[in-house]
Amino acid sequence: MRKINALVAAALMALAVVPATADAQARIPSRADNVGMVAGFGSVGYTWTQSDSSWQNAFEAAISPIFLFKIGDDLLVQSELELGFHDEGTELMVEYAQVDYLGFEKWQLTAGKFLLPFGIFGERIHPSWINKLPGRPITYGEGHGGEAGEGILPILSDVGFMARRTARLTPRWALDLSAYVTNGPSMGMDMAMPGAPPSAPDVAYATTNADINRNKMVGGRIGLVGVGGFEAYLSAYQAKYDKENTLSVAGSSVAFDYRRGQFQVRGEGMTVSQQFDAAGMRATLKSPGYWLQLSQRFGAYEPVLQWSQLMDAKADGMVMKEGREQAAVGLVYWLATSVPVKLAYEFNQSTSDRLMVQWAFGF
Amino acid sequence: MKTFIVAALVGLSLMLPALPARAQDAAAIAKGAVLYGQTCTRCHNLTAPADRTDLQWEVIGLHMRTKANITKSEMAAIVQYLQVTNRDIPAQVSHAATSASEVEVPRGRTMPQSASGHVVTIKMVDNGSTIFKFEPKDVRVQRGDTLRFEQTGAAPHNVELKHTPRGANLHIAAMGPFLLVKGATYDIVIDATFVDGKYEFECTPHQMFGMKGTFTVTGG
Repeated sequence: MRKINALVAAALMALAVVPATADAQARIPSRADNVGMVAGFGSVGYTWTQSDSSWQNAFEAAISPIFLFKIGDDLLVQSELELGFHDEGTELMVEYAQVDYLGFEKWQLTAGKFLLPFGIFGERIHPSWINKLPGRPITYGEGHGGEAGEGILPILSDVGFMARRTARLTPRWALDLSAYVTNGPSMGMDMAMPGAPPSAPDVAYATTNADINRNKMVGGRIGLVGVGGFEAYLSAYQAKYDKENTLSVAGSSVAFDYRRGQFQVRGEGMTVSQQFDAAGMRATLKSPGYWLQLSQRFGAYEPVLQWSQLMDAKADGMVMKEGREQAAVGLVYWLATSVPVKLAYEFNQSTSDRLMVQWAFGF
Repeated sequence: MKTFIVAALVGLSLMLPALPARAQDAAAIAKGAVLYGQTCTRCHNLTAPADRTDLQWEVIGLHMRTKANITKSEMAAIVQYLQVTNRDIPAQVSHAATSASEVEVPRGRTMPQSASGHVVTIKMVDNGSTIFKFEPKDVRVQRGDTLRFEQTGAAPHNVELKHTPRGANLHIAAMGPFLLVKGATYDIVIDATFVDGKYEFECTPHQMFGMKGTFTVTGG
């Protein structure tokens, strides 16, 4: 597998180099060509969380400035920070910090820390002014304060290199292709109590500039994008997550989005397969889940329904982690095109229900 | 004296507001309007062109290209459309363009002087953010009437014919020009090329907000 990863990495680098050398006209821009700006999004909210027979409630706030620097005509340096406020205090996260070369007609080359093109939620829908509900589908963990739950995956970002290409198949259909190689995940802290039954260790997706092993994470996404409002994506990644380079973790996803007039339906199904050793045997834990969202806009109002489910996580037929479901019903009032006010109620199986109000703003 | 007049004319011309080079860019701008509606709504609502300056649209264009994964020329067309339609064009320019055209895309047959019937006005209405509509959205016209679309909103609007009855052999462009400022109008003379029946139209960048309408032609 290491050889395959090396080959894929080499292929990606070659993709970068070949068009770069072909573009002999490329020039080094002067600083006079630079343009910088700050965009971003933020939100404030209030969440009531059901606790036994009472409700706990709390204010929430988050802001995510996006720094954009256009260097010449074809280089973009961009970074999104996320400032959140949690029980432990202020949290600062770098969602992405990347350099993009955009000088080619159909290719894009990205290096740095970037959002991985896995499915559609993490890369495109998660900003609070775009997400139509205050919370996330439980496949990505509930997040945003309140009672944070554990999903199948976090919103994935990692440090590495990515090449993307678009290819028009017909006037109405285009391919959206992405491939990347990154440092990859590592093994999380073993929180199992002594004497507890065997369980799979956590996979830590926390991004660092280091790699715990010599294996790189390799992944990609193939998308079919139609002019008529339909798009569908297949995504996958694979990596080793232990120091010994023996245990693999792999994810796959099928996602779609369909818009017709003011109606929109979108969703995503995903599975993460994780190898682990238990009692001297190699086992594979499979964690599947999905989310589905429907919305219909009536003027400035947009009712939203969302179902998401984590199925039982099983290793060789044995349930290792019970699944759970979530249903959410919400109403968005669009104060402006990038300023939604959201009211939503989450019905959470096995965790507490939540009532949420959120005012988000893109700027 | 002659030198003075020439110098004065040159000076005056320099004082006039610079207008975009429209004719040669018309096709790219029209393409940009369509792409703007199709591409950006894949993730989020459309932002009003006037929300950003020309330079900011250049930067945002690169940023959005990394999200939408579209070609360089497609994003350039979108940015060009946004830069042209975010301009604060003086009112007298718009009123001078009585039968269309702040952006010279292929025009409809706009000959109000040849119409013999009534003028039926449809207003292009928006609040700049969430409401985009034609008002009234459904009208009836007779042959010989003039159908007048009047810009009353803040966002750029146009008229794109999406469905025509069988037998219609129109000599007007399917996509009309973009009207950029309040008071600008686009006239369609309902002449003999319009057979009886229902014609469906929409605003290219705002159709996803339901900015659609119909006009039904009957014999006049």
